[in-house]
Amino acid sequence: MKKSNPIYFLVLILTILFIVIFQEKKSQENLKELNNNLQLLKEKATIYTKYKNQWINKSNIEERINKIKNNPIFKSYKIKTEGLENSIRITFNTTNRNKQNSLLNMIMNDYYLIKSMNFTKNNLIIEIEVK
Amino acid sequence: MNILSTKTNKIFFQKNIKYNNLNKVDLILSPDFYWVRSFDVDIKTLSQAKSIAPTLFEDILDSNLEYSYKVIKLNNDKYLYFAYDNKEILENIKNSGLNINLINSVYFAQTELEVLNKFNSLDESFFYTDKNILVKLPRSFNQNFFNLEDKLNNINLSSNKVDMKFYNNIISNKQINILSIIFICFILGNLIVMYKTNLRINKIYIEKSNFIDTKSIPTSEIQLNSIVNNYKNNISNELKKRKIYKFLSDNNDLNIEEFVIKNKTIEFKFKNIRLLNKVKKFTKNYNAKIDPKTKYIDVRIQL
Repeated sequence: MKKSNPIYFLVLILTILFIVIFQEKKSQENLKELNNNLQLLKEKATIYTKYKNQWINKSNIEERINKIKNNPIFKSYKIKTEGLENSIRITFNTTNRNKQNSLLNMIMNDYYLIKSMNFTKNNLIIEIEVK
Repeated sequence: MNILSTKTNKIFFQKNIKYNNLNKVDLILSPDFYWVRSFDVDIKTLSQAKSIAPTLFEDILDSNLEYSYKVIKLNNDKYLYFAYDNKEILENIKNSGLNINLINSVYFAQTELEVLNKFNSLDESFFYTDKNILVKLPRSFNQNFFNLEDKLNNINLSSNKVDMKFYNNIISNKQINILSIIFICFILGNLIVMYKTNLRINKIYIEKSNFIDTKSIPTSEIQLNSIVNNYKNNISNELKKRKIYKFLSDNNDLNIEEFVIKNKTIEFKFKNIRLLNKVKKFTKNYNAKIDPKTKYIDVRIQL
């Protein structure tokens, strides 16, 4: 004898199906969001590490400045560097405009945070931020 | 042990009779509600016997109506076949005033009242024929017929219950079963997909945690965002400084006297007054202040 209508069972299954579909959709959205977050995190991490290594890393910057100082075009000139608390100061005392421009070009075409600069006819003083 | 009595009343259920019952009842269907036939068939199993049931009633049943069948095996090759219209019985039960929820079980009178042989019930008479089939007589007899009401509650009911359906659906049970199977398949499919998705989610969490550890970046996303935004801002300012520097180095005839950078401020002095408009045009997109002096022009740009 069947007193309970099997249509109720069908309705129950249909309800479960809707719940499962809803949950599945939620999981998919969650996955998509997490994937996007991970990609974003990777992008930010790239900026973070690139910035840290290229723009403010003290030893890296010192190495690059030393390369400039040892460049043959400045052989008979003296480029003075001075380490400050959070920066490196470069002083280039010369009236040779071409040499001044060469040094300035090298600095401006590389990854340096220019904290301050004073470029006059007689000298060039550049302070580069480091950490 | 039950404190409350589980005993149920028995009702010999006849057509067009009103019943008033508040207790649980077992219904014994009068022959008005079913067709019964006895056959000798060479079939071994009950399910096989049941499969041929519709063909055995073809000559007497309305082919437009839907009937249910029950088969009872009497001895080796003898089967008792029942055909009944579930819908008709249900309608009669509803019209009789009986509460469906109080109906315990439903039986055919054929299988339950054999011990009485012949009996009267509510001005109708019934008796078992020579072939042991219970039939209703055209008119009421009193001679040697038992009054069923006196004997009914002493009768022990058999296990041959009628497989009644107490509902009417637009779609058949078979369709419901097919749909249920399809929906269950969908549920299982979705659960599998959901399981796989959750595995991928966990994998992403692990990948993210490993990534943070190996790259040595701040664990807090808010902190990382703040630092990265600050870095981006600094880089943007540096690129602006380079753009201004490029403009000045590309325009050598400006005769730059001095070029000064102090954090976010850029100052330069140039002598060539004829290029003032060019400088004005270039500095249009910056927060710039141009101050012409007697010997040179002073430009101050705030980044």
